[in-house]
Amino acid sequence: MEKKRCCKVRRLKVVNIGLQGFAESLRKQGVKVAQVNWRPPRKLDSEIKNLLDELL
Amino acid sequence: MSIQTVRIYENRYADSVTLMGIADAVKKNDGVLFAEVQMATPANLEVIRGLGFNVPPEASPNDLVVAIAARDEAALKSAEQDAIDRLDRKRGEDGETFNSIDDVDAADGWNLCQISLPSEYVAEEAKKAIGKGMDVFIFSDNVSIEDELELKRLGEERGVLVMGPDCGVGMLDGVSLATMSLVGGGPVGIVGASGSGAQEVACIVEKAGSGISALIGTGGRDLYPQIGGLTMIKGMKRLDADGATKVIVLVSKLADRGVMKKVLDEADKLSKPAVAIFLGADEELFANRKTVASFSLEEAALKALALCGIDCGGFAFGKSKIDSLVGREMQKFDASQKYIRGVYCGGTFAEETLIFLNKNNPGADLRCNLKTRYAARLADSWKSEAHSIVDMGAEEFTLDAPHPVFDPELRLKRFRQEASDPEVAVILLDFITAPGVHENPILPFAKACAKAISDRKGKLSVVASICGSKNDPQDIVRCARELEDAGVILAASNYQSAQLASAFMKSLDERR
Repeated sequence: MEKKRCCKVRRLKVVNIGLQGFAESLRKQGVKVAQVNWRPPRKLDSEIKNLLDELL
Repeated sequence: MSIQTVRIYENRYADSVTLMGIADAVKKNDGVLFAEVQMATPANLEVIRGLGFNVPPEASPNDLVVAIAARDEAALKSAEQDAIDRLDRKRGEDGETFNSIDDVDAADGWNLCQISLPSEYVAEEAKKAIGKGMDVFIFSDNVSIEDELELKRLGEERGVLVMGPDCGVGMLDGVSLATMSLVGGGPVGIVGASGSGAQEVACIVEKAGSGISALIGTGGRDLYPQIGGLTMIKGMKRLDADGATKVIVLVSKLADRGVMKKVLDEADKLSKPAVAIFLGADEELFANRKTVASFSLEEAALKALALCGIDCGGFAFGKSKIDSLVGREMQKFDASQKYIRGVYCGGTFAEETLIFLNKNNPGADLRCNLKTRYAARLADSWKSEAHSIVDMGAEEFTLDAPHPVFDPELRLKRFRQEASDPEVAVILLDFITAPGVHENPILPFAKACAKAISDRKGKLSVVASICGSKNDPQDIVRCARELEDAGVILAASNYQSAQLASAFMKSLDERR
């Protein structure tokens, strides 16, 4: 049976944002994965951003 | 007497599955009476307050809340420290981490960004990843269609794939993404707007002795007029340029006719042969086209393999096999047994069955809990009537319970309900296996089927099919054996299940 795979030339390297279970599943398959320690944007940040958008 | 603490961690996020795992571990500490670790959403805070905890009013949905009750001060402090340690460990464990997608340098080879965040945060992070030239796979649903269009247009500009939102399955470079089955390698490349439909095609390809080069999911709305099939078209072009792909299969539910035509126009221009299945489409859509038409998921898989020169002659059901199987089973039934009942976990599979029954059993009294052109609607989704096909993944069943692919309990209950109905002769079941779904979705049904068939003194037929790979952690070879040992008729695909259902319906209706 043919075993060739898509995109062989560029090995998959995954950045995972969200469910850590998905990152673990990829690691079990031998894939290089980095987890983003994501934080929700601060409400204040978006208010400042809007003010800056108005000013600039 | 107990003491309690509530601590708010400002602007801190972890997904609910991780947080539940931490809470369960903290509960196991000596002297702990209760522990909850959640994002501080209004709904979560209401539950925690309802349990008697005094939650500070300034807690916001962007914060994380830890609420613990323990027998004494020492137990409380120890449990609280345990929660903090586990939260910190989760953040740093298992290799490389970034504090933000902004810190990722695509020049280091990072080429795919997988996103499963609450919907309101998806677009911003996806835009950043696309801007870095990364392909994007978005599992999250409920992202606005305007955001989806913007992301897919950006993807076009940057030459990257935007898979999703609401993309449940994918396989790139031999790697299974999200809840995709671990299907082996081979020459068939698939682009799918229906996740379980695409997965069924992939699994049939494997069952028939071959494998897939890639599966590119598009998300369920890609063929909406607003999106115009952007990812399906980009995906087929990517596969056309891929050395491992020999034939391309396009999979979707019935979509906007203009978009389906546009997608087929593009498919006709590919250098490689293409097969298309738009579940429920008519033959006229495919008239005078190079792209090969198919009208079931099984047919799509088998036609793709035939185009690769792979013979799978023995796979499809012949009429004589169906007739002999159904003839044998019909002899078991009493005159009072009149109906078939489908109890499905895959919406696409329920629909594929409905389409087949609607076409091949005209005039039959067929009902369904879904609003569909193929059957009358059940008055009450919780109670079947006449011949019924029930999609247990529909909203009315998943409002208060997990989807049946993640927790089979509610579907098991419905199975037992149908099996104890004296008017029922045949029950249809589908099963889905993959790394991301329930770890044991089939064996509880095998036991329930054995018991039901025994309780009915053999006067009950159960037909089932498994959408899964032999490499999936659920061990489908063993599961299939258990089902057959229980007396279940195991079909090799959902389409074969539908063919049997149709023959049963015809025989039962003619007998009345």
